[in-house]
Amino acid sequence: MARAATKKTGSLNLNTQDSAPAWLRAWRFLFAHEPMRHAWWELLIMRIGIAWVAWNAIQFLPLPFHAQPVPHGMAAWGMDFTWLGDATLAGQLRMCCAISLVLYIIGIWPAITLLPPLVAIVGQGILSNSQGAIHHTSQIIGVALLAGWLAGVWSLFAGRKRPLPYGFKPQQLGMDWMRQIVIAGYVVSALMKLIDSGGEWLGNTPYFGLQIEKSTGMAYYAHLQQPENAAWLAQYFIDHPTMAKISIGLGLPLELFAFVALLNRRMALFFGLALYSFHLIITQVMGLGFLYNRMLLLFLFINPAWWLAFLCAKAFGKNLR
Amino acid sequence: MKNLLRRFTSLPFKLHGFFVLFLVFVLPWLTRNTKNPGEWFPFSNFPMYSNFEETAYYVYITDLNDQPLGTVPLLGMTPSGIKKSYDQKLKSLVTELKKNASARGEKYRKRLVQMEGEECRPAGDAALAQLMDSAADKATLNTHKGFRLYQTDITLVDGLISKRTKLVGEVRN
Repeated sequence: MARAATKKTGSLNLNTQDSAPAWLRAWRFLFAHEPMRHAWWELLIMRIGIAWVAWNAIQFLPLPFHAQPVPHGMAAWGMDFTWLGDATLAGQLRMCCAISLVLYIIGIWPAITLLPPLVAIVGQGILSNSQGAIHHTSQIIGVALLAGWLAGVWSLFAGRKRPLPYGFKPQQLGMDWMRQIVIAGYVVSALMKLIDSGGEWLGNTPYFGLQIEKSTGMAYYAHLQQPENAAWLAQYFIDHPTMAKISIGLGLPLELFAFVALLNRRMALFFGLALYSFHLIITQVMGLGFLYNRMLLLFLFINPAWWLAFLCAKAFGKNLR
Repeated sequence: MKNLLRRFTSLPFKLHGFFVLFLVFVLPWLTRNTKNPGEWFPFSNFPMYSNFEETAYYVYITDLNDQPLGTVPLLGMTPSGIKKSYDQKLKSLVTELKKNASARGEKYRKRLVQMEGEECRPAGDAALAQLMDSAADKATLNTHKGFRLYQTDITLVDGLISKRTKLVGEVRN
């Protein structure tokens, strides 16, 4: 009964009157599937966050490239993205994105308002990757916007014939699909570690020290400035392989089971914080940014505004739905 | 069968499951004939750091007096991007060397970091030339008489990290 009620409202199940055994209540508390039906003010904050990440990602326009020497993705099909290197055209696209993102924040049709930033981010990613090197910096916001846009299109067409899953409203569905796609990246990354290494990824983690040395060197030659990463860890991991296996190895289960974050707000918070910390550590050690990943984890999973409101409501003896 | 299908469609996070399967199995197959199987922006199967090896290397650019130059102000690219571009050409070169060795009835067994600088020159020269061609800021490039590409190999020698640098490419304006 308590579980059914939780499913219906999507609120926290902390019912101590439940007659189920303690282990079952703990299991439900941790792993119950409680679709996250965000309130309007949560959705507004989330849309601001996503728009902010998207706006940051298109600040590289116009790109300093005027050719596609090694065509990648849609460019390999003959599509020309070199117009994103043109200052005038790129400027117009940025203006269009700015207007679209403001409308998106207000809550106007994501199927239309997410399209310009999606085109800009995917286009610049393809043009950049068509220079002969593959980058993933803006990949995460690209797929997140794609998921939000697809949810918008789905809500417009399929949503007319039948209710959206779990009684979601279109904007709630958009956030749900974004979460599903963003977290898929982590699960895939873990699966590839197991597949590419033939299951020996954990055993080879001490060699991560060489990667730190490599990153330190590359960071220096970018601007000829000594990076401030933890370069000393390179030899440390070689000298202490068990420490390497424990500290780096922890990332594997965290990524592999990241899909648990989709179950409910508590797991979203736990995995959101854990993955955010994971990125922070990589930034400290390797000098790699992961700004977009961290911001999307913050807005879509950690969702501090809701937890703050939840704690305030608890303090005043009220229920937050 | 109908029941099974109904049960599958009632699973939560179908989009997530579909996307994971697509990225891990379908995308690499669809892109198997490209230079980077599993990569089709904005989709990726994230092969980075999926397999740690006992060797690594990075590259940097100098002028003709061997003075290092910051790659971002010079080309708008990080050494990581330059390395990826060079790495693709180096791997194509190794494939060619293997074919030639095979035609002679021999086997080419050298790893990337074991190759001498002179052996890597075709890849390094081509990577540098491509970078210079596609750079937007030609005025900055023209302030130099030419450029060199150096590769620093990182290996383990008696448990200590060891580095060896070699010239792998050069272009002159």
